[in-house]
Amino acid sequence: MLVLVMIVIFIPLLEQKFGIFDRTDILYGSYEIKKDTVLTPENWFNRRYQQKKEDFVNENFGFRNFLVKLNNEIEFSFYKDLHVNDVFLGKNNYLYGNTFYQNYTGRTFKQKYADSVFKTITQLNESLKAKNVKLLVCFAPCKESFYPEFLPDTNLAQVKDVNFYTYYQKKLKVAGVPLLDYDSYFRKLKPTAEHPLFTQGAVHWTTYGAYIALDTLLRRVAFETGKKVNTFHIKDIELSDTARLGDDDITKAMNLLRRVNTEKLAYPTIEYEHNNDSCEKPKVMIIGDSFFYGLNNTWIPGKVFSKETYFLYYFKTANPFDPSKKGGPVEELDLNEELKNTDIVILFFSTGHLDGLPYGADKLTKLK
Amino acid sequence: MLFSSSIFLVYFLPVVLLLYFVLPHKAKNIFLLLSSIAFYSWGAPLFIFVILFTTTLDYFLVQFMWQSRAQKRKKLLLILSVMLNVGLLFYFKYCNFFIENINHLLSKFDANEIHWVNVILPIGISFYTFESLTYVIDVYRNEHKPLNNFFQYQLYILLFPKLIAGPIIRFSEIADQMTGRFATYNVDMILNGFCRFAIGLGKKVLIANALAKFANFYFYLSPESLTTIDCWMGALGYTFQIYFDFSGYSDMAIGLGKMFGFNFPENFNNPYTSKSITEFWRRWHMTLGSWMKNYLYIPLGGNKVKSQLRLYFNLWLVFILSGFWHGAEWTFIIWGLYHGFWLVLERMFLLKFLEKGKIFSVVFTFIVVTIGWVFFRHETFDKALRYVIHMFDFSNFSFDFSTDTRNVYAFGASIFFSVFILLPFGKKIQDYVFFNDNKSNVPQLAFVVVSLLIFVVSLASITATDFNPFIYFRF
Repeated sequence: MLVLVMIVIFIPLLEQKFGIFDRTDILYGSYEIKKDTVLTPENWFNRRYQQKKEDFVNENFGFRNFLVKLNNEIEFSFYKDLHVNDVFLGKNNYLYGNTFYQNYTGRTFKQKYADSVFKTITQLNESLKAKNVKLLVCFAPCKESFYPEFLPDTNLAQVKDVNFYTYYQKKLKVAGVPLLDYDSYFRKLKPTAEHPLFTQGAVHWTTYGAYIALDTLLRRVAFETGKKVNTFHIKDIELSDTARLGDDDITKAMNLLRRVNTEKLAYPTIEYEHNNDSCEKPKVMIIGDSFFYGLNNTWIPGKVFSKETYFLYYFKTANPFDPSKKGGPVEELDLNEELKNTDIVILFFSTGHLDGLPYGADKLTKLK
Repeated sequence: MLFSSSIFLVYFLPVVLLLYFVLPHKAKNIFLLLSSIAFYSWGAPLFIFVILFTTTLDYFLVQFMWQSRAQKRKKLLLILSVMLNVGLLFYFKYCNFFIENINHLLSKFDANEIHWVNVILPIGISFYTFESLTYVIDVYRNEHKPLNNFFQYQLYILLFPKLIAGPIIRFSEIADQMTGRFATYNVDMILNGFCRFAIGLGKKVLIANALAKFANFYFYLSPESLTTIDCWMGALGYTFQIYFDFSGYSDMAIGLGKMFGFNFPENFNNPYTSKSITEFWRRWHMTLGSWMKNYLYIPLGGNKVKSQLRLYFNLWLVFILSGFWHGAEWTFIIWGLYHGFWLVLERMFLLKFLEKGKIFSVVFTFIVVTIGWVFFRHETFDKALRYVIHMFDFSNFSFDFSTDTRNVYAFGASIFFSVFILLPFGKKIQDYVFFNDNKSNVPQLAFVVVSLLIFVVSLASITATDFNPFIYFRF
């Protein structure tokens, strides 16, 4: 029995030093990794060495990732604790993002700010028009507006009449700014959709939802630019119990031992409607949030849009469609140059992220 | 280095335990001393020199005292050693408090305040000072001869399992174990020690830490913003938190001691089943109670004083000092005063009534203790008093109280384990699990497996506590 005890208390140390077992048990989510430290007399006596070493050991001993998952599993099973930042649990294990929820309720809504943003968007529309560039505003849905029925009752009671989305939607329509309102479109699709458009364990739309959204986007880009953009149709659907891509983005970051998703999710195979060479490839500048990643993960935008296209994530990081180009901060991008020959600028944000609009995209109005 | 930290559980404990186990008996004590110095230096890299210096001085003072034949000289050396230790404790623990209060008074009279740079309180000083005092006093009283080996004395003071938070071990209780423990040191002792350690770790990590979050919430808020039931829930949360925290730590210390061959005295004996405050102090922090009795209460005259008034005064004084030992704050003094008040009341008449009752006495004592903890927990007397007043402000009473499942589990577990011995066979089961070192194979295996599970789940909780990633990084 002593041998058993010694094995259990020694195994984390041995595993850390010698890596005896498979180390593919990684932790998901965005978190800061603590670095190891070097011992000096100064940091020993001021205790910084000890503090940093303790932090480092706490994150790096053997089987630590398994233990984190074990703890999270216990705490979720017994206490419904999630161990993910900015996320809360609704009914039937539906998970919601708090930032999205705050925007959905209208708590973040400030009319003065919304008016100034609306003004910026109309100015952007005008300034792009002058450069012969189109603007398309896309409002991706948020899970809260798609599945309000699974929000906890206490949360649901706090929803106000006006939020950024309802306000901008009305104003942009009146102002004639091209708008692709996925939020209302998805709600219309919800009763008849053959497969889940949102799922329990993710804040983003499903891969299937992203295909639907992309199909609509390509047709709208073709309409706005007047170019023959290659579109596609869904040829086949594979149903799976295991979530892929971003379809379990929250549950993945919850780092549990088992998955909580109970729905069958759809993974389409597509067929292009035209020969790609016979179509035009518009140069697009997309400024958006993580909802566009769902579209990008299908690899279709990279094929049907020009290689010169950029996805500017929150207008902070530039992601080129051309694999030979390197991405980087938007400040390092020559926007004047990039805007030349651009056919369309797309503002692509979830209705749960509209509190931060225009996310710096107003800089485009100031370009010569 | 805390026992409930990854670095202790993953690095320090296994390495030290293994090396200690394989080393020959002759080398075990010196290795344990070096490990203890490393353990303490990790948390207090400068203060270790102060401890090493004062223990050296103390060792030689006591040697001289022991060798001295003249009673006067003996007494002088005793006073010198006591002053050295009490002076050290006073400087590091109480100077800030006294100067702060003197400055407060001076400012009332528009006088110049004393300039003072706050002294940092070294970890474990209250425990180690009290043990140093038992050494010199026990030798002075001829209860035990001093240790002949300087390193053994240092080991007694610095022994890492009990250095930070006790139990406070009297020299006479451990002196013979310094070299004599190897005769009874065996695998079963290590196993039982590990199990006791794991149970203590679970009490601290899985119960006390959960209750800490719960209690902190209520104690952080203004009492005026709480309902009566909120105030009681906060107070009860803290009542169980402090018990499972402290008794868990003591279990870990006792368990570690066993793993290295030592038998430390018990520190807790189901205190929340006490039928009076007098009994509570025989069950709560027993080693402090024993220290106070042997080195303060009895020298003051004990129960053999001439008048009842003097007896009450002595009792009260001991409890005020006991409160002050816990921390240099008025709230601790008030807490000591409060317990002293109940003890005096029990001596006067209350004990007769309480001894007759069973459940009523347990509940009554528990409520008295719970109210006491409110003073212990708050930073200021004013806030504590307002909190207690709100506990009894029934105009504000409402059953509208909800809490999350974690707190329900933590409360359920803490209530169950706190009063477990009151259940039929409760005491027998407890004694068998904790104090029977010769269990047969199957129960022993079950005990080890359960302890290992508690160890693993606790380690998982420790390493995952602050791990709350974002789904994705938003700029």
